[in-house]
Amino acid sequence: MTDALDPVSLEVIRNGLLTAADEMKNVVLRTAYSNLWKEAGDLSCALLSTSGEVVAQGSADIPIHLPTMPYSFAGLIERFPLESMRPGDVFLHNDPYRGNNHLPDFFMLKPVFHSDTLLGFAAVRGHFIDVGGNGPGSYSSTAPDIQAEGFRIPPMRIWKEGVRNDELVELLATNVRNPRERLGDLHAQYAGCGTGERRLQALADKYGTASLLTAITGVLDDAETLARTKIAEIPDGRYEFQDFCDGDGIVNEPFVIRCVVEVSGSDVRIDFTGTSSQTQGGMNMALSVCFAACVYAIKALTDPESPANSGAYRPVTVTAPPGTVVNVTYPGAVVAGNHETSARVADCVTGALAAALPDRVVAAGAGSTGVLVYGGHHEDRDFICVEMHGAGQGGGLDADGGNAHRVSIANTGNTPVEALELAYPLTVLDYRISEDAGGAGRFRGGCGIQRRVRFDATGWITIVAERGSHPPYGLFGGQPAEPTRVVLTRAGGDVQELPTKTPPLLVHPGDELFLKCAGGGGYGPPQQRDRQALQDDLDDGYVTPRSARDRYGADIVRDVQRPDGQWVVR
Amino acid sequence: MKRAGVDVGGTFTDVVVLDEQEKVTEHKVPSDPSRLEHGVADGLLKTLGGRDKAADLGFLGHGTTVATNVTLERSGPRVALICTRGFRDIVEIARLAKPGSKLYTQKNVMPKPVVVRRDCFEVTERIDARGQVVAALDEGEVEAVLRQVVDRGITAVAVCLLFSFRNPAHERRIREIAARVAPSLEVSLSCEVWREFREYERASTTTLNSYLRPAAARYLANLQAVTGETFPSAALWVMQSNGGLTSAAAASEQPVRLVMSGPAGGVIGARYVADQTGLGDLLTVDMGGTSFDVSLLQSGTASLVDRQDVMGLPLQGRALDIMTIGSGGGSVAWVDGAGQFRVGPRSAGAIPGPACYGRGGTEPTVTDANLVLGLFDAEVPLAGGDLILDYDAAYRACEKLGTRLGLDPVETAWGIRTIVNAAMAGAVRTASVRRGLDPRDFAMLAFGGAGPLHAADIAAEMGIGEAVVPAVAGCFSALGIAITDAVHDLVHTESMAVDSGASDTARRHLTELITQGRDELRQSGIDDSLHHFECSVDMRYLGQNSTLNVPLRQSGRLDSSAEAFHAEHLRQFGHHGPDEPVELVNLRVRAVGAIGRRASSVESAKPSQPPIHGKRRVTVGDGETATAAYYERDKLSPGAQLEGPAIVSSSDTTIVVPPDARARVDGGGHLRISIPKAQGGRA
Repeated sequence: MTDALDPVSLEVIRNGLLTAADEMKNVVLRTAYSNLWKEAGDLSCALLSTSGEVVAQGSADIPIHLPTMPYSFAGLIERFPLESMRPGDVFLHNDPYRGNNHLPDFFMLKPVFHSDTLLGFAAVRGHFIDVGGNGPGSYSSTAPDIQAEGFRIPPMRIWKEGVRNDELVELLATNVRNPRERLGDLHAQYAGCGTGERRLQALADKYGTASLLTAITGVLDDAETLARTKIAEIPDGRYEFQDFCDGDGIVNEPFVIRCVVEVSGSDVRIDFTGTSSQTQGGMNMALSVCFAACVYAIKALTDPESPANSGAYRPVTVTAPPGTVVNVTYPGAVVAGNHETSARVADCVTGALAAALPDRVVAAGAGSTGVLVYGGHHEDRDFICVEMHGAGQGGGLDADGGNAHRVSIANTGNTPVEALELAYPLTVLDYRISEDAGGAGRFRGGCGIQRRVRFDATGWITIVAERGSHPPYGLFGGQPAEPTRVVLTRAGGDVQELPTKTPPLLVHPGDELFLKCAGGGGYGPPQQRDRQALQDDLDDGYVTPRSARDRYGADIVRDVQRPDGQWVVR
Repeated sequence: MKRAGVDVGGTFTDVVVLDEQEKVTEHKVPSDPSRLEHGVADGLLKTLGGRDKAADLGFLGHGTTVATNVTLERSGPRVALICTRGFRDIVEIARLAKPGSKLYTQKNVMPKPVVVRRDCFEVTERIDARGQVVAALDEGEVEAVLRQVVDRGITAVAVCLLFSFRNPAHERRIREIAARVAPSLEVSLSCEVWREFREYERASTTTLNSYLRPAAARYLANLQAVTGETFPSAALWVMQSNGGLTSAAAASEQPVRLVMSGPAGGVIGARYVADQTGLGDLLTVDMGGTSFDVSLLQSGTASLVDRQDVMGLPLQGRALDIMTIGSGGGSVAWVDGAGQFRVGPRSAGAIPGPACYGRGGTEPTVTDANLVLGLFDAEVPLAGGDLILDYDAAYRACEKLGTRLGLDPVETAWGIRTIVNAAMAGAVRTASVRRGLDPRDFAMLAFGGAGPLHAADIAAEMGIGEAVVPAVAGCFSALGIAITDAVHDLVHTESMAVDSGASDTARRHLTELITQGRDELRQSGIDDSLHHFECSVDMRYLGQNSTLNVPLRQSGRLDSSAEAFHAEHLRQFGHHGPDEPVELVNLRVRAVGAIGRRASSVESAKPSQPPIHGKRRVTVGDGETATAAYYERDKLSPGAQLEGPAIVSSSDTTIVVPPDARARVDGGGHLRISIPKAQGGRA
């Protein structure tokens, strides 16, 4: 509790900060150029305290984007100390070696002053659909080091006291594909920071600078208190788990993530000793990203409803040996680690705590963003199409995993088939829920999705998916989900199974790609599944008759007269 | 002839009758859910002054919750969906993302579609992005699917094929086949429900239409029978979410247009007030027991959206832009695990209700807080009800919560009110800022049971200078329904670069849309002389995703639209690219049948001192306790002037005039509260 401020003002300011973050998001979405921002919402907005903690974030923001902000902030003020900042300054960087997620995520920060007092910061992190490097979309996990992944921007003052540094902007524009759209997004980010600045200043106008700063401290402290009461509900103990990723596309050999979660009172310590050494390709992550994945898992298990901020993450400590995939050292590449390996980190922490929280935990979800990038030059213009395919949640103690929705640390959506075909030279041949893809269980895993696409122009495709070798796990006797599959059928009929990480690959008109991402794991022994639930699964086609027999051990018979479906569970 | 608006809600049926001189009579009667249509007739007869006056009624506008109720209760029938082969899962895959409020939630996060997977069928056919048939419709499959649908006892089927907005031939053919093999099926085609690209949103809208049809058709048929018999001269019109009326027959076919039928009336009522007062730029706030609705008018024209959320599912189509947050009189105050003072989002609802209702509630709500602060009388029954409020229970509830916060009961009550006012101000700000508008350029119009209690404080919080409580505050939606026009919104998706040939294509499609709109208005019996057509176009910069809607000349000439687009882009987003290529995405026609009434401006009234009914102690403003003058609204005549702090009470609402504010009743009977330029601050 904060002594210096009455509870009413504290609550009003807290709400004001949350509204301000949402307002920032509204402004960025309205002004952005790219599909990925406007339609799929791959960006996050926040207000930061003077020490760089996230005080308020937009309500629908991307979980992996936010807890890393204090690290991006720290990397930035090392170069630009607070005392060097002036009203109207705006800073930008994308460097994973200074606390950023990966090169495509651009972190913009604007200090907010009221008279001469620093109130805090407005920050917007957004995924730039291209940052140069190897292949349209800058998304190959096979770049051998960070330099090859794209244009690396150290902290820089891109607006100085309200004046844009045009040389820097030109340098940026020269190093990315489709610069017009990239600059549109950059200005949207700038507009969002300006909105955050005005809202913070308005709160200071109304309540006074001192009260606002006290309230910001109070909001963070209260979130910590609340988080500690929730964490204290986890039984004390030492919990371990390990899980695997498919490899980086250079070496398609699985590597391991291993964690020990120690819960003691209201503190959680997570250590990753025993995790694989860093990969050559971009399946690594900075420790800040690993931290973000860990706190996602803890929050999902302890307090999913409260608005997230850095105060709630104070009880969590994360350590990992340097040079591992979860704590990369220079010059390791990181593009896919940001959401593929980090999703596995979240799976690992969740799996470890399953023994402690069997009623709250769910089996592994899809565990991948499942990115397909298709880019090239067609009818006199450059195009870059990015689509996500990772979907399907794991089953829980009292509920099936949800079918066909994004899970875990990212939440970027899809683009309608009709919008895709209107905008890009491709044809979607089918787009379905994958039957039987959810792991069998007393409560079934959610089914994932699959899509068949025909490319109608020559271009490059890049694939970054996961769960090809080690499918999402089941819990307490539940079965794992079906693994991810990627198949390319050339126009001439040649069929080729592709690894889940495929470097930029040239495709031609008539080539077809089949991409089926894993679903979620099951919970509890499949033989215990409620018979009516299994009957519904058969009727809805989430489970096929073969799987009802083989995986669920059900006795089924055929009745061709039955209107709702021919197979009946006895 | 007189015209009437009847807004049927779950609790009350509101009736407004206008005579030829624009004189308004209003009545609020309890709704009886088992015989709503008779309630309409009874309420009307009461307001008209008896059965012998029934023949005086020439026009009956109706706002209905029939569609809303089906969605709230999820009580619609089993429906089926027919899709292109390969795409039966479009409604379940949806847009793949979780709702923003459920990012950290892992169980049961997705809204449930109204159609289950087993009832989603595929038929072989394919139309490409240019509208060319690349695979013919397999009619044998269609027949087999339709038979299966019938075998399952399903009576309503939705059809949504890829690119049917481009070429509807296959969808229409399916309906022809259905008429032959399954004539009892109610078939909704996506190309008719909403002819725009984005297959998931179109399928969702079409299945919702199928889901609502049986209940809506049944209700409207009954209503038409009752009103036709009782009011032989009155044409029956139904209010749509877009703020315009449609015939009962058309409403039965497209009930998906009715989900905001009632609230839409309030926004159109605001237009009437705008006409009378000259206040064209209005933010309207409607606060009830469980929700707070905000909408926005510029120059007397209400803002529109193309998408609503119903049961968490997208519903495409033009609708008034009404933003709802879950703050109301029933919002509960509490202390969270970290000792923070919180209000809502949980509501006490009707049962147990606020502590002061004496129905078992013990937690303090916003209504309890207002009672403790002295803002209304415990002895005055709440609108139409028999409820006498229990002041002591409200006080005790605030006292109990206050002990945990170190506040006395009145401070606690003031805190609840302050927190909820700030939350509502945030919602109003969001409603304006997301359109690139500064709320300080608007006046606030407050209606609904609790809106006038809070409006002046919310306005002050945002730096808005004037809050208006309309003369017909309690039946405000019914007023809007009584005076609006018939409106049909039509759309055609045609994505193409704006170049030399584009205007010809645009003109051709506009002509088609206008013909279609004219046919719909004629079918409703509206004479051609009353038709007019507003054409517009959605544009974007090539490569952008979302669009802006700008006016289009009926000639189809796109150059002036492109200019308007550049200007609007600059206004809303702060940047534009006059040299960048512009793309056209949708053509739109709003077909209007001018059967409504516009109000004329009212004359100013001579200032007068109204009679003070009493004095009372209230806690308002920054928390100071003061003596407020107490007025009864029906004793205030035009010209009456009063100074805050003051309370104005009527049978259906209570108005708070804060300290430092002053108020007057204008020539139209609207109470106009002037708020001194307050702390409001930056936009």
